[in-house]
Amino acid sequence: MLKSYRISTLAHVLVGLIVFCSSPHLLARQQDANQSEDLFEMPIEKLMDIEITTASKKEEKLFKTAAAAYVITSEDIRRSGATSIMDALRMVPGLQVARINANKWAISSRGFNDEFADKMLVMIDGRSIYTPYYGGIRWDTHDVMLEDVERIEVIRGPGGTLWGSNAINGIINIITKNAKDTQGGLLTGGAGTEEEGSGAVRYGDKIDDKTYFRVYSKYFNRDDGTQPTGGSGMDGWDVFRGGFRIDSDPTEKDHWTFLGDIYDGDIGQTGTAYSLTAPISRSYTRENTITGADVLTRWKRTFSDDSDMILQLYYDRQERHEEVVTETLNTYDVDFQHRFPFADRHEITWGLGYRLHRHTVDGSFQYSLDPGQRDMNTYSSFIQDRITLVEDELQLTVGTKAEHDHFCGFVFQPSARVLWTPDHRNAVWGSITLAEKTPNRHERDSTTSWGVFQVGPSLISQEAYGRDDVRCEDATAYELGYRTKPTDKLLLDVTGFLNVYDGIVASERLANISMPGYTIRPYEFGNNLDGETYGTELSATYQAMDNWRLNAGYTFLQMQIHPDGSSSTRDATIEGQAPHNQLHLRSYLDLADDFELDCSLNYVDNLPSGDIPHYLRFDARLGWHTAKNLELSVVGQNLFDKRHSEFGAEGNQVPTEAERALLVKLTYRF
Amino acid sequence: MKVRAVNLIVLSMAIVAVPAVTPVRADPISAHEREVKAAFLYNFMKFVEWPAEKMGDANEPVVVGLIGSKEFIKAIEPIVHKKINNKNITLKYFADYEKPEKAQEADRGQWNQKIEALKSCHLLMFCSCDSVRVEATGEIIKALRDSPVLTVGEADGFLESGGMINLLMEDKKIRFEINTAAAKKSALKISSKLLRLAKRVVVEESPQ
Repeated sequence: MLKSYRISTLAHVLVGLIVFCSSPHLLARQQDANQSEDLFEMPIEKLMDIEITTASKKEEKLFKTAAAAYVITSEDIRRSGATSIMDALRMVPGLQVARINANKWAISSRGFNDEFADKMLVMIDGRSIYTPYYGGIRWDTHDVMLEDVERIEVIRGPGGTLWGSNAINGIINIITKNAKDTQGGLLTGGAGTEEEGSGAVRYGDKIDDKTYFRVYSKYFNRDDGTQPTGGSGMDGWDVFRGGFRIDSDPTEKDHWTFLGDIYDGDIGQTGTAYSLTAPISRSYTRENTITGADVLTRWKRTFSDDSDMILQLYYDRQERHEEVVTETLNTYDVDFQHRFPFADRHEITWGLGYRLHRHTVDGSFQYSLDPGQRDMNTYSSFIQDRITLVEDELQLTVGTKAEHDHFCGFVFQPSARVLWTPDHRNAVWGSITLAEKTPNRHERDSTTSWGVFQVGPSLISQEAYGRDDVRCEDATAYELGYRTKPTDKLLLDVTGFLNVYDGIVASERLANISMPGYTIRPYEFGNNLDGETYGTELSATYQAMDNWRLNAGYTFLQMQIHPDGSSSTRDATIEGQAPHNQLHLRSYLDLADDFELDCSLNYVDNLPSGDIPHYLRFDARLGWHTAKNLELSVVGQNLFDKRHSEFGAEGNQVPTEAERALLVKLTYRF
Repeated sequence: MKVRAVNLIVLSMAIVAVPAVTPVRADPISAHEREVKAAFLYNFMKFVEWPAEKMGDANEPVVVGLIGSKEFIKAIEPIVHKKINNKNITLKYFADYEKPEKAQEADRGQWNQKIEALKSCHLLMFCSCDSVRVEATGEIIKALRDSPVLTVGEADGFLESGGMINLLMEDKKIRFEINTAAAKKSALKISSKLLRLAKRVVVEESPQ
C-alpha cells in the first residue's frame, strides 16, 4: 500500500537531488565567465561556427520575474489532452486542483482550497471573474475555447500591486490569442466516455491590413459522475458558448482590442432543500441554468520601449438559476494604467480603476441575502517603481495598491521585490507583500439554513449568518525564489514561501436560540482564524532530445491554522483540505511520421478531512497529423484507476469521483 | 496495481534526476548572441588598420564606444582586459544619442558637441538589441564620415546608411557584411582576410 510518508520521502529525496545538482550552477557561472573570455580568444572562423541559442522574449521575461510564476503555453494545453482550463491547471506546481464533481471544482494555491476558494484571483483577458457574491471563481460558468488560448500565467503568492485585493494566494491570468494569430478556419469535434460530445468552430479573417477578427462557438456535453457509493451524481452538464475578438493596429503606436462572449448552459445538481414545514428535508435533482455575456475593449498606446499606456473597459453579466437561489450580477469596470521611465534608473507604473458590481439575489428560506440587491463600488489605484540598482544585475520593485472597497473602506497593499541576476543563467528573487482579502456578500449579508432535522421531539434548524462587521483578511507573504539554467536544455525553478494570516473568516457556533416550535443552532461569520502556511514549489524543464521534452513539478504545503481567542471554529477542516505533497511529471515525445506521444503523471496526497485518500493519476495522449490540415488525438485520462475521489462533501454539493475516460478528438483547419 | 505505480514513480524520478546529475559542461557550440557579437567586435579591431595619428603612442588606449541599447555593455565588458596592438582598451557608453530631436531646434550646438565626443572612438557600435532603434544612426554616421571611426551596427540597412560593418544572424549563426567605400572615406584599411569572410561586400557608396 502506497503510504503517504513514503512518497513524501521519495519526493524530498528528489528535491534534495535537484537542489544539490543545481549547485553546479556555481561551476556553470565560473565556466560561463571563462567561456566569455574564451570567446574573445577564439579565431574569427570559429566564432562564425557558433550556434546562437536565443530564449524568446517571453521566456526571458519569465526568467526575470520576481515572483513565483509559471506559464502554461498553448502547446501545453494541446498536448495535455485537457478539455477544460481546470484540467490544464493540474500541471502547475503550487496549485491544488480538485474536481469535486462533474461540474464543480476546487482550485487554489497554497492552501484554503474549497469550492468557494476565495484567496485566488482569476482573470480572462483582463476581466476579473472573481465574484463578490461569496468570493471565488465559478469554474462551471467561465470558459474559453482552448485553441484560442495563447497562454495561462499563474503567479502563486500575492499579485498585490497591479491587481489588488483578493489575490493573496495567487492569480491566474488566461490570455487569448490576438485575432491576427487565429486566421482561417478551425473545426474540432470530440466524443468520449466522460466528454460525451463536444465541438467548436472558429473562423478568422482580416477586415483590412491593420484589422483582424475572429468568431467562435463551442459546445460540450459532459457525463454524470459516479458517487463514491456507486450511484449517479446527476451532475452532467452542457454549455453553449460563442464570441468574437477584433484586434486592430490603427497606427504604429496604437493597438486596440474588442471582444465579447455569450453563453447559455444547463448544469446538473443534486442537493437537499430544507424547510421548517414538512418535508423538512427533501432531496432534489435539478438542471441549474446559467446564462451571461461580456464585452471588453482595450486600447494600448506605446510611446516608446519603456513607456506605454492602457485604457480598458468591460461589462460582464451573469444570471444563474438554482433551486434555492436566483442570482444576477452585472459588472462595469474601467481601468487605466501608465508606465514611464523616470530619472534614469526608475520605471514607474501607476494606474486607476473603478468597478461597479450590481448584484441581486432572490433567495428562499434556505439561502438569502439582506439586502437582496446591492451596488458595490470599488475605487482602486496603484503605483509601482522598478528601480535598477545595478544595471542588468540588481533590481528593486516597490509599490502599493490603494483601494476603497465597498465593505471595508481604505485598503493598502504594499510590496517590495528584489531581483538579482548575476548572469543570464541565474536569477534569485525575494519579496515581502502585505495583501488583503475583502469581505464578500456571503460573509456579510447572508442567512443560510444548512440543515433542518428532528432530534427527538424538537425541531432543530442549523443556520449561519453573515455579519456587518466582517472585515478584510490580512496576509503577509514572504517569498524567496531561485531560477537557474545550468545548461541550455535544463531549467530549474524553486520557490519557498511563508504566509502569515490574520483574521481569516470562518463560522463560529453561538448559543442556541429558542423560537416558537423550533430551536435555532446558530453559526456566525467572523474573522476568527489566524495562522501560517509555508511550503516549497519546484519545477523543472528538460529538453532531453530535440524531440523529447520532460517537465516535473513538486509542491509541498504545510498549514497551521488556529482559532484566535475563544472561537470554536473548524480549523482542522481547513488544514485537512490541503494535500501535503503533490508531484507532477510530464513527457512530450515527437515520434516519426507526425505522431506525438504525451503522458503525464500526477500524485496528490490525501486530504484528511473528508477522508480523501491520496491518488495517482496517469493521462496519455496520442496525436496524429494525418493530413496537412487534420489532427487526430486519442486521450486517455486517469488510466490507472477506474475512479477516484479528489474532494470531499462540501456545502450543498454531492461529490462524484473522477473516472477513467477515453476521448477521441479531431481538429480540422481550413 | 499500486506496486507497479511505485515503480513507475521511482523510474520517472530517476529519468528526471539523471539529467540533473549529469555533470554540467559548458556547451562548446552554443552561446548567447550578444557575447558572440562582442567577440566579433574584438576580432574586427584586429583586422582593421587605423591611420597612425589616430593610434597615437602605446599609452593611449583604444576606445570602443557604444550607442543605443544598454544590453550590450555587460556582454562586451571582458574586452577591457584585452589588448589591440599592445594598447589597452577602454569602453565608453554614450547615453541619449538615439534621437536627434534637439538638433531640429536651436540646440544644434549641443548636438555638434555630442558628435565631437564620438570622434574619440576607434570603434563605435550601434546597439539595437531588443528593437531599440537608434533613430539618429544616419545623422551620426554622416557626421563621422571623414573621421577614422569604425562604425559597426546590427540593423537592416546599416551599410546603406553609410555604416562600415553590419552584424546579422543567418541560420542561428553570426555573419557580417562590409561597406569598404565608407571605410575608405574615413581612411580605415580593412584586411582582405576579413573581406573574404564577409557575407557581402559593398564597394560603391550609396547615393546619400
